[in-house]
Amino acid sequence: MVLLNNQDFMGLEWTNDVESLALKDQDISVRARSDEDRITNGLKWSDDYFYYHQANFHLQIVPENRKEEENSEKDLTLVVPDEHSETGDHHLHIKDYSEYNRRFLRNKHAKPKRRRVQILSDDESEDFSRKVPLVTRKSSKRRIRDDMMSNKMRTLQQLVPNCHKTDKVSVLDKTIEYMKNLQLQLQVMSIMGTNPYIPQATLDFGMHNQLLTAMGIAHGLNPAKQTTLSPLIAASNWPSPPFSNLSFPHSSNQSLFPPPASSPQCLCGLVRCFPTFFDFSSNTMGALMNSRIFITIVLSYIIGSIHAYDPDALQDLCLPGAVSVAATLFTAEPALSEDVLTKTFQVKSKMVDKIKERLATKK
Amino acid sequence: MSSRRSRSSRQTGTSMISEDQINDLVLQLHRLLPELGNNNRRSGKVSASKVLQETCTYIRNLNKEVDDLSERLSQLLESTDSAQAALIRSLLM
Repeated sequence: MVLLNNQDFMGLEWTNDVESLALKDQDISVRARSDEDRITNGLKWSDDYFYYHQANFHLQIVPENRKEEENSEKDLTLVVPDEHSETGDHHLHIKDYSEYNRRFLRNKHAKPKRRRVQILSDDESEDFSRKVPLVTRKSSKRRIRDDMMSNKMRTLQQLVPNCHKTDKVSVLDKTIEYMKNLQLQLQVMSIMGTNPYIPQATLDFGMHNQLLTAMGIAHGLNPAKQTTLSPLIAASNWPSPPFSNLSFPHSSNQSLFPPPASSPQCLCGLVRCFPTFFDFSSNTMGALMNSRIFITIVLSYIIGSIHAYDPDALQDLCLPGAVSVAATLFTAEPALSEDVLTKTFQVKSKMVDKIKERLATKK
Repeated sequence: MSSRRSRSSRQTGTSMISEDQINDLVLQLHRLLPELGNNNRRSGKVSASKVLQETCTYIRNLNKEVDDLSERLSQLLESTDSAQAALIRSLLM
């Protein structure tokens, strides 16, 4: 009846886990059937136990130990006498591996004598569908941990595109790259969404291709994703669009200009995540690309704020360099030639004068 | 990346060497994740399975955000006929 309780409590999920575990543990249970095997394997497992015990101190990464106290009905005795058939005491919530681990650790302290292997009985080993055969604490602990790890590795492999190798190291490598790219992509897209003033001029200064490349790579990493924008993007070849002279209709677009408060946050968010992008060790072009994108976006913000006649917006930016860039450019002495400024910021010369006035007065 | 030190243990071989690598990678991943409760508890130990779990959920969240933003950008493209739309279009095509 205790068996039924557990089963009701856990439902199908547990059964599946149990089965997957059971299949792997089957060899142990088979081994354990003969006395000889028990002795040999018992010794082997205790070696593992000692080794694992050592390893705990070396590894920084430890198995998860969640401190959940609500599953109180699991009063487990971890030690199974050989001929003991199923009782409620030996049932485990396999769903909750950390609990399992925790209990093992606790019991380790409580009963130091019982470190050795305990073996499942024949009766228990036959009944895999309903409960897990108890095996050595440490090897099963490690086995469970490895199972969890491999499950998560598999999930990650499915999530991360173009991940064809199945070894842990490459999966982790690709995950890290992919996460960085996703973060970058999100930042770029949010900037694009909030700031309409990404002028052609800055892009034309050689940053254009990098920005597009960044977006291309970001999108190229999602070949399976069906976003509405993806049909617009050629993944591999980037034809540089013709530099069309856009005149910015200043007055009409002012309503479209977002409150400056949002953009500094985006940019500060960018700044925060850019240090992590710089250890893009696998891709030196990536680092270069990211810095250029960063500069592009900063400049676009500056330009946007200039168009809105609001140099104060620059002060809101937590990047002190950004403020001085605009100020330096416009108030340099000897002054930069007007057409340089005009072309850089795509503003008319009247605007340049106005901005100069403003910045001069601020000084 | 990291130096591969081989440990002297009973189970020597390639598995121990890549164990270090995996540890480093998991730590790196942990740094990338948005940390919500970690400012207080900054122990030296990181649970690998927790990191992986959080990575999965984070990647899913990021993908969802990308989709939302793409949706929004495409709406912007369609709705406005201004220079803004032309800009976005020229950026993407």
